Amino acid sequence: MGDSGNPGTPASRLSRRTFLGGAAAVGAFGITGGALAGCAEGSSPSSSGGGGSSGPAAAAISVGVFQNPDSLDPGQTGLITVAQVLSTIFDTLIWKFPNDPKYYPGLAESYTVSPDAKTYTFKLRQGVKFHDGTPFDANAVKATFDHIVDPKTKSLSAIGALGPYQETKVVDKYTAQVVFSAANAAFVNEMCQLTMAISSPAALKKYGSGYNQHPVGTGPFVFKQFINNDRVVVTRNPDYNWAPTPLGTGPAKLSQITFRILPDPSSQANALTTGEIQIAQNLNPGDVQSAVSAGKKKLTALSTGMPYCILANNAKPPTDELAVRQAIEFSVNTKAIIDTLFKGLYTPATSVLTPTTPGYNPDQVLYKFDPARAAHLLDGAGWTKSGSTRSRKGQPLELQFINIANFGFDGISQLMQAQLAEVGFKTTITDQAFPAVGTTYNQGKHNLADWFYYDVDPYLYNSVFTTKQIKAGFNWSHYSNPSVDAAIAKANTDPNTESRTQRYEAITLTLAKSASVIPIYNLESIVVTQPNIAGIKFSSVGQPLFHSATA
Amino acid sequence: MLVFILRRLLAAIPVLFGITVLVFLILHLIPGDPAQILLFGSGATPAQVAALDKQLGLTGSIFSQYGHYVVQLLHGNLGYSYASHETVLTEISQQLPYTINLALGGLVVALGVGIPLGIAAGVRPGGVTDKVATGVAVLGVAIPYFWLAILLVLLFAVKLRVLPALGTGSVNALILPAIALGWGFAAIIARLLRNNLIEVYQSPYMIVARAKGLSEWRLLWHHALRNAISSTVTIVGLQFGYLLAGAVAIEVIFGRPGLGAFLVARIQQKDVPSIQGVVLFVAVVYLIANLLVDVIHAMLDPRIRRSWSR
Repeated sequence: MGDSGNPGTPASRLSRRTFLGGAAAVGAFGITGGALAGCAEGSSPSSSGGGGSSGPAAAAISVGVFQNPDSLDPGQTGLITVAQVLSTIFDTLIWKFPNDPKYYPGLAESYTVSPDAKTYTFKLRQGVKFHDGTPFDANAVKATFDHIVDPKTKSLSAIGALGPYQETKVVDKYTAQVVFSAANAAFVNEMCQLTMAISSPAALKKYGSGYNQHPVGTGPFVFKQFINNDRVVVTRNPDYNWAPTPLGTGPAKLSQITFRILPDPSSQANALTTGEIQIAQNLNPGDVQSAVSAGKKKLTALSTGMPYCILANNAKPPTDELAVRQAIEFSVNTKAIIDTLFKGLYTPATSVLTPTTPGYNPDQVLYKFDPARAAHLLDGAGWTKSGSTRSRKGQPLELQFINIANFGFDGISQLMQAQLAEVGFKTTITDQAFPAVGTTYNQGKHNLADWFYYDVDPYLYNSVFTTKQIKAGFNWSHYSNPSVDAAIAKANTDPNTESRTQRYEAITLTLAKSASVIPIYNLESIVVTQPNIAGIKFSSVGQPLFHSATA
Repeated sequence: MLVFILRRLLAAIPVLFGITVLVFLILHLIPGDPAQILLFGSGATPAQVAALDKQLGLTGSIFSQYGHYVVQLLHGNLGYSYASHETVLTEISQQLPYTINLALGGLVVALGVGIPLGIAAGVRPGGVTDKVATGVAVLGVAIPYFWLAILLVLLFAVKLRVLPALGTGSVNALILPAIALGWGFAAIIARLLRNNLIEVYQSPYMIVARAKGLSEWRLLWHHALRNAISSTVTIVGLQFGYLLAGAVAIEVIFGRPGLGAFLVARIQQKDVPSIQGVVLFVAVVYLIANLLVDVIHAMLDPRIRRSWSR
């Protein structure tokens, strides 16, 4: 038979029948191969729903996280979300918890700070082992901090948190002395962050640049597997016995945690409903409400740092006038914004810092929603109302609101525009992508800018409000006050926690009075869990801790 | 035949070159310095940013940067991802199997549903089967695949709890994503096959064959399908890109790893090397798919082969 169609065609060496037969074979092979690969996919350890075989002690859970870890090396990572994964594998020298002024021993039993705040001496805990069996001692502390500042590590977060690091001296096996080249009082809080957690020197050496995929720490869980964009799996460390007191004693209660990487908040919500994950985070406000109505538990935790806020440019008219900035503060109705955009899920911010940050004081709450007061302030400054927009000597009261695209401020800026219009401001909103917008902000083309900042210590002011950060740094409010610059530098030399906190409270009050920061809502983690999950604690930056969690 | 393949390969080279230029240019026209993005918030000094710039090969004129880029490519080096401290090639090869599985799953659904549907509609045009099949096909083309994916999850996973909402962890997990991806493709195949079949059935040789007394089944299998399938295959091959593109949204919705989810994440992080690597990779896949489709089409249809040798 062969080819149909025109008679007399020379029969080709490859007849169509043979070809089709071959193609079918290839197709079958491909599909089988695909099925086998599918089986390979299926063989990755999937975790069961909560409540495994023998009650709470044996439970394995799945936790939804919205970001793929860029690295599992605490010294290298630049993402906050990674901290919750790191907290299962690693420990820090000292621990600090939200709403608790105490510093708790971790891998270090105690520490002292030199009067010039340049040297921190740690007495280390004995009898601690890394997951690879090697012992924890002062060499591990030295290796970890040297690794952070090593250019090959390309540290993103830890290097800034560490500060002006000079060296670590191994005084003896269980005494490590961290020396800075300049006063670093902030380190007392920064050292409690998971980015400062201690890694096994043997593992750092063994894996080299591949350490970020093979993390080895002293934590309550041992690293098992990391499949990019899919999951991180950690299993219980039975030898763990050195948790800080607030996190319980002995090994963890869970047998295994699988962090499922789910960037889409709706898929996390669905997976929580079907029971495929036990803990969901970063859900849309509507999904949080539905989950709670369906009986799920909601946990919230504030983070330290600067809240979601708007910065007013001190260097560009009309926000260069104090009265105008104050009027903006009184024009904004944060409750309305939070109710409209987030279904009332977040707490309104009231100051330059979030309430759990050292340096926050309720005295700093100077502004509330009061449009009448705003109008009064503007009248007093000569901005009179004639029509919808105020003006002064023919100059209209106009604001340039430059938004960072896809940063979460789009709704906020639009609502603010409407609220400001009520008082007589004409606001123009433009969007710019990050990081190009950083340059625009440095050039001061804006009156209003977006802002928030996660940090555990108020020394963050050094990055955000000092004069030297205006040209190319983060001082997007262009706030410049030499006495504040000096006060910030001085505060960082003060090794006494109480007096240092008082100094920052005073600085914060000054900043609040300058009306450069219009707070909107606090940095808050919202974690939704199955009803049988209990025992989750939170870190200073609002990341869940699983040491005492049960299912 | 061999000459044809060689000629097509040679013709592909300038296309490849053009792709590298476009990929390189587009991403370098995006405002913002990647070194600055990477170090944002870490308190890095301008000197440290400049050092990272140099390390990432972002200094020098745009021509020297392009030259540097091409040289790296020729060494098989797709670059080093800013976001993950891994080489782009490693990351692509890690993510690729998941996308291949998904694409194959989608293809199985597309062929398994589309071909029978197309045949059912094509052999009896105007009949009830045709109307039903065409209706289903129209729905398949009209419904966006990502909306279908969400509907499938809500119905089969959340409501009925028969299949998982998340796309990894078991073979079952591949079912809903494959359906969501393959359905629209199935519709296209069904419509094409139907139209081609109707056309073929009206050809003179089919009338002759029927007059010779061949059964309807033999007519369909040995004559009609063979002629109808060749142009369908061409379109199928060209539409393979549709599968790759659809993978992006499906992977995100189902929380699957793969090139699509990878690309989305890296675009958000403005990780230039990863984006360049994936776009280049996908472009090469398209090129190869097109070449294969041309070759297959030629093999299936001797009339095409003859037209080349002229």
